Amino acid sequence: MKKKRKMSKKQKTYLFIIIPVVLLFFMFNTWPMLNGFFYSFTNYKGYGSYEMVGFQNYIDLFSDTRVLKSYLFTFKYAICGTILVNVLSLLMALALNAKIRCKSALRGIYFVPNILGGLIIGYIFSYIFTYIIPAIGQTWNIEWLQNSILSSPAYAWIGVLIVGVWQAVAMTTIIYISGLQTVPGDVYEASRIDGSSKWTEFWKITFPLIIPFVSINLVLTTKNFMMVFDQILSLTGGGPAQSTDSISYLIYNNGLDGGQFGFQSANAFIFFLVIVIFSIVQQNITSKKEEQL
Amino acid sequence: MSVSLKHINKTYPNGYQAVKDFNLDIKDEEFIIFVGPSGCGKSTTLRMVAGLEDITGGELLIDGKRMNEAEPKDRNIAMVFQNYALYPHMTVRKNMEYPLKIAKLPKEEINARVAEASRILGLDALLDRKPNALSGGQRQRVAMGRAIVRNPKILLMDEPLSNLDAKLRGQMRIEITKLHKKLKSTIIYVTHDQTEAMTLGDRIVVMCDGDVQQIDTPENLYNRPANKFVAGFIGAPQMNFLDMIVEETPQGALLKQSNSTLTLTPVQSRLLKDKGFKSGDHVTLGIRPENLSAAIDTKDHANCIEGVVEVFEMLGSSSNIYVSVNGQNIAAIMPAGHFCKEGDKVSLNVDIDAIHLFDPKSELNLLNM
Repeated sequence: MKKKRKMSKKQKTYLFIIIPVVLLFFMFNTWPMLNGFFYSFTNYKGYGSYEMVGFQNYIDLFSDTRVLKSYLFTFKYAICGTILVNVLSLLMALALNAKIRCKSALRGIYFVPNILGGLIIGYIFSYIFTYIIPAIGQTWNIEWLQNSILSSPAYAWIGVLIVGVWQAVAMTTIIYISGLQTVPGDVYEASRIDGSSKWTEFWKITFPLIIPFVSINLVLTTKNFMMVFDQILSLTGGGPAQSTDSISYLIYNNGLDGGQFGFQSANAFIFFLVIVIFSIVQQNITSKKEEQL
Repeated sequence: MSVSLKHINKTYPNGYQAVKDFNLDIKDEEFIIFVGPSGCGKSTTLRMVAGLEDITGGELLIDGKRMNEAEPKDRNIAMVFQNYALYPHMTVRKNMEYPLKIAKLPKEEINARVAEASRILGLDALLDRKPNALSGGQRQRVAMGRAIVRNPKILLMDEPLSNLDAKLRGQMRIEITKLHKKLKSTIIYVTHDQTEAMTLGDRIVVMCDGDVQQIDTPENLYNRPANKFVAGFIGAPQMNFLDMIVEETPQGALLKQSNSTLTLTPVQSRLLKDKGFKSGDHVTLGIRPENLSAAIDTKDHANCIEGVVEVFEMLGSSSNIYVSVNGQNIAAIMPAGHFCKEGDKVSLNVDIDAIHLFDPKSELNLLNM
């Protein structure tokens, strides 16, 4: 006869901790996602009755100009944002990792944007772009500053990008600083004796040794920039003329307010796949260059 | 290439003085060892020569040229670090090629130099491996390889063997000696291991608390230590020190302690007298363990120290015994076949010609002429 295995006290404790978390995760994440996936095959408006429409929503996605435009904007925003954030963060991390005074205090100050919520920052910058900068432009008679950047269909995305980058640099810098601190000091000393200039040292020693951190930052910043929502909501509301309509904002706006719940659920599912594929590809490319210290 | 350190000082911003008035002239092709306990300033001095630490005061000359402000790359030096400091993302070959590529040497010459260095150090089979796939000894050899490919005029080594086990350390000591003969570079080598210092160096600089205690050949350091610190630092087991009282007699001076009496030679008596020591004064007797021999059965107890065996260690070719002499502990090395046990009374015969006497206050060796 098979003997029944008795659960140890330790195992019971683990289960006691894990089960509520799994249930909460399922209720508020997995279940809505599965529901969304189901509704993506319907013509549900978010209220009333609905009918199954098969893959029609997915087919329509590729012919909807607003969806395509939002993808273009989101990709442009994510690519520019990822590059800018990573370059700026790396420069900041190098400076904050150098032998300078008040290093810890400066690190704390530079981290502040990450503590503030995206909406708060968005509204602060909205005020700056709408009132302060135009006022400066008028005072100094600088024409291109006299109108809010957020009111220009051509340049509003740059305003949103500035805010996104400003906020994202904080966390990325912290990750780069921790990466730089993993490089042993004597490796730099050996490189100095071997004759490296600062430039060579960075490209031949520092950068290859922090590739794992570059990889993490690229994936995180790309994902965060692709899912831009708070800044759009607080700065432009997707305008002017839908020029800053991000995918997340479009899903939220048209899905909940525009009677396209089923259609935007299909959009959300495709967007989810895009982000997963993007992350996997990026991770694969950078992980080939990763080296263990 | 010669190296001169003139009145070199190093004081850190917090006021800590790591090196005090260091003076040394190193000849071309000389193998110099900096030795001393942790925190004595030996690595700091080496790093000042390398250009990795600023010199607070004094002058560093390499081949007669002032180098205080020169960048490390402009000093024609190479360095082997304690933790090897290999570039972890590069293969052994790339690690060795790196300084040559920076110097923009032609590809053929780079290949030739790497091949030569890997042949000398036995690294041929490891060239395509990365440092994390190497053992400690192999990494150490790669670090040396990276240093020697540059054909440096001055090779600096900062405790390069300290992370290796005892057997490998012994092998590497021989390799380094051979390498020095082959390269004909000036080598400055830092260690806290006095065995490495004694076996490798042409001259040894003994340091303590930032001060130079003595600069001399290994033989002179051992036989004529300048002071009690050097005498105690060089030699294993270390020199025994016993507090003795001087007694002047018409035949010469005696050193007494409870029931032990040592009769000094006429030369030793004269030197002691010349330095102002008279009856009743205290001196510190220094005697190396190998200059003590057991005299258990002899009736003649002249120049003998009486004590009780506390520990007996059998080493095979010899034995160490640790003896309590009137509350002070001394060690003696006995030949193979000599046995005793804890609690045995023992009379240790002192080789009076091999003793050292130190001033208890200044700790200087009183027998150095």
